[in-house]
Amino acid sequence: MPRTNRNIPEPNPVGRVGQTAGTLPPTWKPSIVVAAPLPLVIVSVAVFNLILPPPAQFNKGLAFEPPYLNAILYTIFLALTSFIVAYISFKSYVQNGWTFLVLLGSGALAWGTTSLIAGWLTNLPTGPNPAITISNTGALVASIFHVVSSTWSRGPSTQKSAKIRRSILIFAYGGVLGFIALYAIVALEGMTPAFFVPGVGQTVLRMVVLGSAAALFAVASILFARRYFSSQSRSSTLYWYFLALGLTGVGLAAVFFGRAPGDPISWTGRTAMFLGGTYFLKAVHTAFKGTSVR
Amino acid sequence: MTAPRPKAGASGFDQLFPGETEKGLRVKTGIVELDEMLRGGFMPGDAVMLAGSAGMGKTTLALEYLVNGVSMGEPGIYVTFEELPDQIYRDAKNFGWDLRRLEEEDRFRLICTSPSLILESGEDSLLDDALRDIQPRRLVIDSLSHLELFVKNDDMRMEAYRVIRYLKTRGVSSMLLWESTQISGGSFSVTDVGLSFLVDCIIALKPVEIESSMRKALVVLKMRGSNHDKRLREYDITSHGIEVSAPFTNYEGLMTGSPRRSVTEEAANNWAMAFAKNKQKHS
Repeated sequence: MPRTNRNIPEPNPVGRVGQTAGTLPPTWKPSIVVAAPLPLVIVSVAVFNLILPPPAQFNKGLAFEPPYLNAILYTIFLALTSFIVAYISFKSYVQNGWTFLVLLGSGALAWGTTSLIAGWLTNLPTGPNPAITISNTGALVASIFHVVSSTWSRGPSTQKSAKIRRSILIFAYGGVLGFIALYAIVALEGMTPAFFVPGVGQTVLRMVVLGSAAALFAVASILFARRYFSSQSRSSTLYWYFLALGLTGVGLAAVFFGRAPGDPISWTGRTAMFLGGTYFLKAVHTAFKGTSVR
Repeated sequence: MTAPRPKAGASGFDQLFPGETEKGLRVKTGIVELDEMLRGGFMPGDAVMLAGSAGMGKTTLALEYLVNGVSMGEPGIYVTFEELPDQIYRDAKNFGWDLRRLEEEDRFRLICTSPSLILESGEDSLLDDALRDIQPRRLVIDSLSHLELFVKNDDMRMEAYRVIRYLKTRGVSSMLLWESTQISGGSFSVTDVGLSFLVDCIIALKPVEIESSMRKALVVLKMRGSNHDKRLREYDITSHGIEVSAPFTNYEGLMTGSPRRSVTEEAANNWAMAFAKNKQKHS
């Protein structure tokens, strides 16, 4: 029924002044179901870890790695979703001036760009090492940005004009892209230490980098979750975002335990990361919907 | 002495200022930002409609246009049908414009008359006398809406056309003020009697409500033969006259009078607020 002067409900005389059932935004309640994949992934990885043989005795028939499937999925679920997060963080910083948005956007940009490059470099004839190197390093850079962003407590820089903010962001995003481009070239030239040796498995360096990235994503997720639960106006945007970070962290951890690229543990991890990408998108969607607080 | 006349054999009003447009000469308003919007100023000899509701600063802008013209060596005439001379002298003085002095120097003329006398424009008319006396390059009619009091609605277009044509043939760049009740929505109807197509340029002045305060927006709706800024810009009436500032970049629906932030801007704001520890609204 169209709202007219006749059918707008009268204010309720009892309760909060000026708020009526007809004017209050619909209440948003966090869904526990959307958080369920987090423990599910952890349990699945633990089970697979018990069932599957160690890397040395791993049968390649258990791995599923069709060419370009990974590239397409990485592009859609990790790169594009991260670019959208980077874009809205860009707009948001220019408008509001909160420094944590620069860090958040830079982290998303690093994650998206390295996922895109790594996804399409997986099938190189020289082996998957450059792709894994780029992907894992990108994950570490992104996780660091996210942790710093989640701990950043300083308010907005009101003195800086929108023009200056834009310049700062272009400089920050340009720096991230420049670093990744340079690092990708170095990795492709074989000038970086090995992250993965075919037939042997991951190196200690990769374990450290990937493990740190997974842990830092988890830390960022917990810090944002704390912010969510301690806030009076719980934002659905923040809810989806910390779950997305959690799934990314868990996904990376799953990849850490993988026996070989394309094995069931890797796919469990990848699925978690893809779901995380979808959650990032959902977080942006709630910001566009504008009814994101309860 | 009369204003510049078309050369023999010239056809069409655009021949009144041969070469001026090509050389890039424009009739500057003297308001830097507005001239930027007009890509240098109005086209010479053009009839400009300045439309807006009451209190939007039409008279102020028109007076500033004339005063700035005088300082650029272009005499001007201000024809008013509503305000008395003393009132205009006083109001102009508040902006620092000494109209009496300009009149004494024969560079400006204030004509307070009835619309019926304008309709009688001819060789011996009041307007023709003033045109001969000070040879103006600019003329303001405040306002064309008053003609409606003396002319039937059906004849309004014809009479307005006659006035515009009269001024154009005398090589005067005219600014016609129009009291418009609403310029909004998709129709962009500036006048109710279909005068928009008679003029070469239309500038609309519009009140917009933003965050519970009334602000003023200015837009060039039409400019024949020239590119122009299509964006709505905020302006204000200051103690020095009209001050045009930056375009309203973050809002949609300005022409409706009740703009809202663009969807992306709103989302970007929600995004920041979702993560910010301090929920103080900041934008």
